[in-house]
Amino acid sequence: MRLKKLFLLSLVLCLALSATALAQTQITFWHAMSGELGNAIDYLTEKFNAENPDIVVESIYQGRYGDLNTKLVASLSAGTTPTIAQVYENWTDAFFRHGVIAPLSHYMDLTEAEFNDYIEVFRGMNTWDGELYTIPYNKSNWVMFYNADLIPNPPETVEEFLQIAKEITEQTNGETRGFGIRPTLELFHAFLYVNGGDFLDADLNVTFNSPEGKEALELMIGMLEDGSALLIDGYENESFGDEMIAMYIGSSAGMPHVENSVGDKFQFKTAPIPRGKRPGAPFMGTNIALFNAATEEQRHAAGKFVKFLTNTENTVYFAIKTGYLPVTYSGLNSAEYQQFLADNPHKAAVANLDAFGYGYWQPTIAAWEEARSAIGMAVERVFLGEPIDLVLEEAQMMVEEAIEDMLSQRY
Amino acid sequence: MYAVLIAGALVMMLPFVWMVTSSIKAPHEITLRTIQWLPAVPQWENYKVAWEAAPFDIYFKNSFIIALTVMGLDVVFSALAAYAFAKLNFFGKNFLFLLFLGTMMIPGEVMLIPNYITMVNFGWIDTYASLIVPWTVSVFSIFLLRQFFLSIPNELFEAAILDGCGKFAYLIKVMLPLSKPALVTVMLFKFIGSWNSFLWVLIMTNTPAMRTIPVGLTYFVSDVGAYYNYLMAASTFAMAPILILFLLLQKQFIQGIARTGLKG
Amino acid sequence: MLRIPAQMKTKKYWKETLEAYLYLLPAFTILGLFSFYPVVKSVYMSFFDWSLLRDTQYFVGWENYEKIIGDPVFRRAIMNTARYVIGYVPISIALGLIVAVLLNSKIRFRGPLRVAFFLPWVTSSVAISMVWRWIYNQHYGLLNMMLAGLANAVNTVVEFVSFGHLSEVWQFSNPNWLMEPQWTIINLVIIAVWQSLGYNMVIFLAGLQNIPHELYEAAEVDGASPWQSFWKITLPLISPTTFFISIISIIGAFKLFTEVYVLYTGRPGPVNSGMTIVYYVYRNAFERYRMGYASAAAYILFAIIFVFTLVQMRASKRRIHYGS
Repeated sequence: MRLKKLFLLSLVLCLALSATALAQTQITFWHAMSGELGNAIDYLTEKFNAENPDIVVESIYQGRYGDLNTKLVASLSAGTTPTIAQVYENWTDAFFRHGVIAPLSHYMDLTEAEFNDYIEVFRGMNTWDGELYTIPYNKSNWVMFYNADLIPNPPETVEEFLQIAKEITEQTNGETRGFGIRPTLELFHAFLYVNGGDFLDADLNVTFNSPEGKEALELMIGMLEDGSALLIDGYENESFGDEMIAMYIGSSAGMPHVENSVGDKFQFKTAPIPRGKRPGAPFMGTNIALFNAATEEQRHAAGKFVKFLTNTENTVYFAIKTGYLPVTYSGLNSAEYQQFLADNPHKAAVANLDAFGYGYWQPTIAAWEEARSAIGMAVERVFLGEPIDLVLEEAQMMVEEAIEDMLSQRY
Repeated sequence: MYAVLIAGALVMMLPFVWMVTSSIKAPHEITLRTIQWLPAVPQWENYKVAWEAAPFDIYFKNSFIIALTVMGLDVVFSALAAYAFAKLNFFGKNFLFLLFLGTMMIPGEVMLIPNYITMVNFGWIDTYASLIVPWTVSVFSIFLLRQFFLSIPNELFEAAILDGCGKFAYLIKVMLPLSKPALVTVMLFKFIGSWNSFLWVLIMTNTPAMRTIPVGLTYFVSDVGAYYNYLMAASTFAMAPILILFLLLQKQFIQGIARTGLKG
Repeated sequence: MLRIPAQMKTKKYWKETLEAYLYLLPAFTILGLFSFYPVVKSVYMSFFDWSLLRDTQYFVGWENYEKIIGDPVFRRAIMNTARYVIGYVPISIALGLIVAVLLNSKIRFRGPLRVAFFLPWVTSSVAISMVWRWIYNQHYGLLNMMLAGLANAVNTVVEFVSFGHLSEVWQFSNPNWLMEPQWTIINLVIIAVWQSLGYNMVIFLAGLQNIPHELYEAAEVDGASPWQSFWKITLPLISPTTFFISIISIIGAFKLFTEVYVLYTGRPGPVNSGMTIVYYVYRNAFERYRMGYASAAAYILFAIIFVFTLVQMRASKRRIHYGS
C-alpha cells in the first residue's frame, strides 16, 4: 500500500513538474544578423528571456538574406516554419497572398498611443489589408556619405550637388571624383523620386518610363561623361575610404564598413539626399513577420517579444549598436539617442527628423522580386551605353508582365 | 620547363598570398589604389577576433566529425559498388551504371526541398544524421574507382578466381592495395567536399550547435559590406586542416606503385 | 521475340547478379533515398504549377516545359552555359594533364609544387570570390594594375626603339571586368580553370601511378622522345582517367551556378550575361517560389547533359584502353 501511495505521489509530482515545463512557451526567431548586429540581437534575446521566465526565445542566425529566404521557403514546404522571422516587404506580400503569415500586431496588445508611436513611414511599409501585419525592425535610411575635409558644406539641392561634384573633380585633377555611382535600382530610385517620379503608382501602373525617369538616368550618365562621377563595382565605401570618390549615396546600415574603410584618413559625414523637385528619403531594411503555424501561446509570446524589442530602451540600444534606426518616435526623440547623435555628428543625416516626413520605399508587392531584376538590368544597360528610351520601354514591359503574373496566380 | 612550372605555381598562389596578407591588415589597408602587399603593422589579433566572431570551436568540431565520417564511409561503400561495376557481370549492369551517372546530371538545388522534407519526416533536422548519411555514397567516387579498377588487368582477376580466391577476398587483398592512389583521391575529395559544404548544412540545421565552418564564414559578409580581414583570417584557418590532410596523403602519389608487370 | 543472351541462361550469371546487388546495396539504399526519390518527386512536380507557398497544387501537363522553351531568358541561359562548357572543359583538362605529367616526373620541388597547384581547390567560395572580385576590380584590382604596368612597359620600349616617334602605342584604360557583359563568361572560365586545375591534376596523378615505369624505360631505350612517350604510352594508358575527367567536367560545367552567384553577389552577371540554366532553376525555385517550373527547367538540362554524355560514351568506346 505504502509503495502504491509513493508511486502515486511521484506520478503527481512528475505531472506537476512537466506542467510547469509545458507552461514555458518556446518560440524561435530567424534572422540574418551576423557580427555586431547578431551580438545585439543575442543580448536583447537574453535580456528578454531573463525577464520572462515563462517564455523561451531562441534567436538564430540563418545566413545572409538570400540564405534566410531559402530557409524560410524550405520551412514553408515542410511545415517547420519558425515563429517569427526577419522578412523583406516583397517576401511578406508573397506570404500574405498565400495566407501563411498572421498579423503580428494583433498579439502585441498595442494601445493607440503605442501604435502611433511606430514611425509613420515604417507603418506604411508594414501595412497589409489595413493592418500592421509585420512590425518594422531593422530599418535603414539611405543618405549621402561625403568627405567633410573636401566638402565643408554638403549640397542641399541637386544643382548644388552637380556643381560640387564637378568642382571636386577639377580641384583634385581627377584624382578624387565628386560622386561614386553603382548602377543599381536603388540609386535610380533616389534620383527618380527627387525628380518627382516613382516606379509604380497606387494602381500598380508603371510610372518610371516617363520624363522623370529619363531625366534621372540622363543625370547620372551625364555625370559619368563629364567625369564628375566614377562607376563603382563592389562596395562604394571602399572607394570612398580610398578617396577615389568624395560622395556616394548608400545605406546607413553600411556605417561600420565606412568607418572601417576610412579609418582616420579623413573626416566623413552624412547628409540627406539632395532634393530636386521635391525632397526624398528612401527607407529600407526588414521587418518581423509572424507565421501562421504558430500556436496561440506562441503568437502571444512572440507579440510580447517583439513589443520588447521595439520598446524605447531597446530600439535605441539596437540603433546605437548597429547602423539602423529606432523604429518609434519615442526612441528617435529619446535623450539617449539624441545624445548619441550629438556625439556622432557624422551620423546625423541618419535620423534627420525631416526625412521621415518625405520618406518613401520600394513597392511592396510580391512581383517586386522579378520587377527588381528587370529594372536593375535596365539601369545596367543604360550604363553600358544603350539608348534610354528603348531600355525603359523594355523594362516597362517586363515589369507589367511580372505584375500580370502575380495577379493571375493561383492561390 | 621549371620556369613554366614555377610561373604557373606563382599564378596559382597569388590569390592566396593576397588572402593571407590581407588577413593581418587593418581594414582600410585592404582596398587601396596602390596595392600594398604587406600591412603597415601586422594585425595578428585579426585571427583571434575572427575566431571569436562565430562559434568556430563548435564549427570545427562538427566539420571534423562529419568530414571524417563521410570520408571513411564513402570510400567503403563506393569501393564496393565500383567493384561490382568493374569486375562482376550481372543483370542490369549498364543500365544501373547509367542510372547512377544520371543522378549527377541533376542540379542539387532541385533536390534540396524534397530532401529537406524527407529529413523533417525522419526527424533528422539538426542532427549529424542529416549531414552525414546522404553523403556516404557518391557517384563521383564510384565512377572514379570503377575506372581505376577497370584498368587493373582482368587476367589477374580470372587467375585468382580459378585459384579459388573469393571475389570479396580478391577485392580486399589485391584490388584495394593496388588502388591506393585512387582511394586516396576519393578520400581527399570527399573530405574537402564535406568540409566546404554550405547550403546543405544551412538548410538541414537550425541551430549553431550543429553547424560547420562555411556557415561561420558568412558572418563576415553582408549586403552592405564585408570584413575582409576577418574573412581572410577565418578562411585561412579553415583551410589549414585540408592542407595538412593533402600533405599527409600526398605521399601516396609520390611512392606510387612500382609495378613490374603483374605476377600472382 | 526478345533475344536472350546466352549468358543469361546460366545459373552462374544470376548468382553473380545476386552477389553484385549485395555489393551495390549500401550505394543503392543511400542513393535511392537521397537521389532517386527526390528526382522522381521533382519530375512529378515539373508537371504541376507547384508553388512552395501553397498546399494545393495544380496539374498543368507540359505547360511548364513549353513556357520555359519559349522564354528568351532561358535561351540566353543555354547560350551562356554552352559557351562556358566549351571554354572551360578542354582547357582545364589539358592543363590538368600537362601539369600532372610534369609533376609526376622526378623533378625537384615536386611536393611543394603539387601543393601550390592544388591550393585553389581547397578554399571555400566565400573567401575566394572576394579575392577574385578584388583582382577584377576596375580601379584597384590586381589584374588592371598588372595590365597597366605591362602597357607602360610596352609603351616605354616601343617609344625607345622608335626614337620617340611612337608613343602611347598601347593606350590602356581600366576595363571594368565585372560590369561589362562580354567578359562575364570569360571571367568565370578563368576562375574555374584556376580552381580546378589542381583537382584535375590530382586525379590524373592517380591515374598516372598505374602506368608501369618499365614502359617508359623501354621506350627511352628504344630512342623515343618524351613527346612520343607521352603520345604513345601516357595518353592511351591514362584514357580511363581522361574519360572520367571529361565526363565529370562536362557534367559539372553544365551545372554552373554557385560561382556566378558568389562572384556577382546574387545577380546573374551584368544584364543576365551570367544567367545559366541552374541559375534559372534556382531563381524560379527560391525567388519566385515556382518549384514545378524550376524542376522542369532542371529536367531540360538533364536531357541535354544526358545526350552529351551518351554521345561521349559512344565516341570513346573504341579509344579507352582498359588493362594492359
